[in-house]
Amino acid sequence: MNENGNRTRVVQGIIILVGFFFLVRLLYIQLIDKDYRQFASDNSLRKETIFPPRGLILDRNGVLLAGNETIYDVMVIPAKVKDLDTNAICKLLDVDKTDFEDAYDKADYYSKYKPSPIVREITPEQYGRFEERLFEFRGFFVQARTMRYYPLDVAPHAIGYLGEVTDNDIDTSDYYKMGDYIGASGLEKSYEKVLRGKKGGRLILVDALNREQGRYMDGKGDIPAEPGASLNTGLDLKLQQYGEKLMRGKKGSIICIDPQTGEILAMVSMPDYDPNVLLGRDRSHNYGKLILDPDKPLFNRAISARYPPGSTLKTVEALLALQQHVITKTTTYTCTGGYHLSAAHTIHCHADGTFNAREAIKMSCNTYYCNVFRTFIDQRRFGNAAEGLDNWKEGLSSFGLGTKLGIDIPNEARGLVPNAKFYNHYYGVGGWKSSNVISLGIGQAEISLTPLQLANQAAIMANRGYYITPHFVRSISTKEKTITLNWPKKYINIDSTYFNYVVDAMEDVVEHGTASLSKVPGMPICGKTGTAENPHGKDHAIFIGFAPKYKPKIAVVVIIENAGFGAEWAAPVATLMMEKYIKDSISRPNWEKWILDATYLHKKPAVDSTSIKYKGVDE
Amino acid sequence: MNSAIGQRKNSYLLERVDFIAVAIVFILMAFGWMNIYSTEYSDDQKKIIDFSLSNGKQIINISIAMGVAVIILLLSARLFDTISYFVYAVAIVLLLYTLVSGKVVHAAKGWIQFGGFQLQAAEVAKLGAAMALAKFVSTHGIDVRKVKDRMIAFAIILLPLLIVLFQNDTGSAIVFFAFVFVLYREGLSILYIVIPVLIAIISLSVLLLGILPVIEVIAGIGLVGFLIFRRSKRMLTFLAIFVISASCLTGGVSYGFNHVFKDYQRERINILIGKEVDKQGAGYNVRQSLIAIGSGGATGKGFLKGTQTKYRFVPKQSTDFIFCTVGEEYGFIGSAALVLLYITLLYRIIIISERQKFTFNRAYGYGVASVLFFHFAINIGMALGLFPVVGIPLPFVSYGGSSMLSFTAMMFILLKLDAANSEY
Repeated sequence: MNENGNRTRVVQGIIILVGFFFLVRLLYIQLIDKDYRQFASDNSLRKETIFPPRGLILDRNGVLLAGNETIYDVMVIPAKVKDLDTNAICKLLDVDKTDFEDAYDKADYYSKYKPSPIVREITPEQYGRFEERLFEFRGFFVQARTMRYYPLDVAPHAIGYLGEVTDNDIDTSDYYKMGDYIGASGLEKSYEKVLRGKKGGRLILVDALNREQGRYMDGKGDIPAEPGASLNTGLDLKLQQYGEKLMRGKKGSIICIDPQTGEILAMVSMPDYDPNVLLGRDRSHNYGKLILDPDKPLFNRAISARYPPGSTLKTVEALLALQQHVITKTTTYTCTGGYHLSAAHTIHCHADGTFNAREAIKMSCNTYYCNVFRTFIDQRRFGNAAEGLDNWKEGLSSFGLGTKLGIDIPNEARGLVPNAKFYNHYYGVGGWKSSNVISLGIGQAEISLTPLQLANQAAIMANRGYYITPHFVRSISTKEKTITLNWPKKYINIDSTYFNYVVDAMEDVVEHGTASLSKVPGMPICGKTGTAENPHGKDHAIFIGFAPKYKPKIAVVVIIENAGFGAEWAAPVATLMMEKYIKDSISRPNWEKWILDATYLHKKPAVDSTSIKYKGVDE
Repeated sequence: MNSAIGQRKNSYLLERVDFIAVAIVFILMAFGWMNIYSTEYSDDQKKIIDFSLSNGKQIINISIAMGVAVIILLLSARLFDTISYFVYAVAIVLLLYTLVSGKVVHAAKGWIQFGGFQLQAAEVAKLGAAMALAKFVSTHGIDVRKVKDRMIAFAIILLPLLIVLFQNDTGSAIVFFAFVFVLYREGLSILYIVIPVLIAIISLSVLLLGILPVIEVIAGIGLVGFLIFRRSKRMLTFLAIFVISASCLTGGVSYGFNHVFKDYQRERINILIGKEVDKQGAGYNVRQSLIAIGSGGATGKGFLKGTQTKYRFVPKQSTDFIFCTVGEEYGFIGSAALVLLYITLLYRIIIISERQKFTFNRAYGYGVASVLFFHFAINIGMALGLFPVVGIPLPFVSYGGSSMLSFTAMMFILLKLDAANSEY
């Protein structure tokens, strides 16, 4: 009993001791220490965000592709607003009264106590006038921030654009506040965390009339903003601009890669848009127009569109077949104007004669590659066509075809290389043979690939058997240091002797094969034409290739939708791009004119960008 | 006839409910509500009952809690003893469920959604643990001085504690340590309280002052102790154990902090113990809290007149930092009164527990006292800058439905047990 009584007293004692501690502490901070009490109750603090300038985006020679300009936003803290003269403030800031009231309600709904932007991007003159009369508008203040600005109207799909943060962004991250901007596509999105920098904050003492009284604790509590890091891309401005010029008025895309580094030199997707229309007050209005445009200018065809690769696939097939000894360098098939699948069904071919694999690439013989494809799928070591097809798909995957390559901008499509399961679903297990899927052998039917995958295929050919993940950003620079990014290198498991054989064939294509019209004197080009049948109209013209043959500097893919033959449309564009990059001059002005004049999209762009004027620029 | 007897019985029941405890709980609820209203109050927001604001919602919370309290008083007192393990099991299941699908609130998981109603599983678990532990120690033949029984008792406490910790709710996890007081009352050695406190003091001192002064103090204690207890072999053994283990702990903490932890971890610990000022994060909150409380002075600025607490310089104003509003608007007199009111309530619960005839009732009463005590100590300690910011509510005062409901249930189960106690 006594022992228990002691235990009770110990517990009671601990409780009383803690209470006593609290009383002493209260006595100290409320009655003795004047530090806290002197904090006059008339003053209050305003927490202002310091926005860092967003990181720059530069081309391979350091030319500015995305920079910043200073703008001013009027902010409001609804809880502090008192006796507001709405008419006066609207007049001063030149805004519509209903718009202002809507924005006010939105801010009020978001938070009564946190500052929200209410009128964005006022002019410096408005800023001056407003600042003078700020005492009339309690609860309002002006915040300077930097705004994105794209000086050159170039490569919009690669660079991307910014958008206002969504409720979801605010909920899932503790960095963003209402009204902040966030990268919404392209490099702006994928490198958001690098580009955005780090917001700072300062605490400002304001009196009851919203006048600044100075810095809280002399600015000791302030946190400076950290500017965003800059992206050094591999884009070549001149080449990019030239590509955009050539593609103007057409639908399609160009990708140029430096095969040795995997850097993307140019990426064109047409039709496009001026990235500056997606900035500023008219952003959402313009965005709405662009998203509704049936030509889909916001869609990045270069990485998101999928096309049947057509005859460009023959180069890869030749390599796979050679490596697996399905054919040798001297295996020949005879073409009599088509591959006769059955009495009723012939896959036509424009070539005639007896060819080996090299000649069949040069002439783009469908018959030859239908034979190769069937022999490949029906190899005796495979139990059935299903196993053969899966092995074929595996081979294509090692080239990155039908896989995501991991480029550093979002929305990369995977494409489709069908596997056995795909056809089992369609025909039933065991219900199909190589003859049912023969069109795959010439890059038609269900197979679809992205321009990026084809460009990468060209780079693999240029490198004779490896590629580096295609990418834009070579390095990231802060004020202190530059970090070079390390992009993965992948090898294709095929002997280099076979690569050399197929590269010779690709040289033949341009020298005296299907693309011989696009020959450039003094510059050995290797390539392959393709013409993709599609249900949407005329065939898509495709060309993949690289130049020069030895020590290649550039690998290119060109796809022009519904233009016709690859040799007629895509090959000239691709070879012009090669010439522009390697020689920086054009030796075939007649070809250039032919391409520039050939336009089939005649309507005006959805958003006229000439109406946009730039204010002061600072980087 | 039956109903007449029932009414008589209920009126007896009301007379038997401990009046002082009930009165304090009501005062705390009313006072809490006034402060919540004050944080919502502004020139264009004066509505007392607006169910979109926390003052309006708190009225609903209190009403629901009171409804549950009435139901508890009408139930049979023996029921609680019987369903203890069941309540505990349900609480554990709820905790595990929230771990899988819980909603994240302020970086901690642990909320269950029932239609439009949210429940924090950790609050239910505190009640469940208090009941299960009481049930266990009151079982015939169980003695916490026996190693096996002690281990089971610890397991009952640690299971919910670990799940809650896994949910990132450090504050609630710490509260489960309070149950050591229950075991202490039922015979556990005082060392189970003293040693953890010593470890905490030594670790904190090492982090704050560095290794040298701490080693000096330990050596000093060793030397003085040796001179005093020269003759007693037993005391010298104790002293030796203390000096050796304290030195090891000191060295270990120092080494771990400087060589094992990474820079950002060190920074976070330094901020937590107040050595480094986190300019706009947790350190900023504590500073704002102290400014608010300090600016209250002796008598405070008056009801609804606080300015520091109005503009939300202090986050979670109506939940974790409600004490700031008290300090600012009612000054030293009001805050001291609140502290004293709490001490009185805790003291009263101990008295109630001690007059119980059944071990279950007493152990349960100690459980209630311990949980309330930890909440009180941590919450106010946090606002006064004496304890790291871990975010737990002040019982009956802070805004929040789950905590209001579970603390009221906890309290009224004890009052029901107590009322029935005098019948036997």
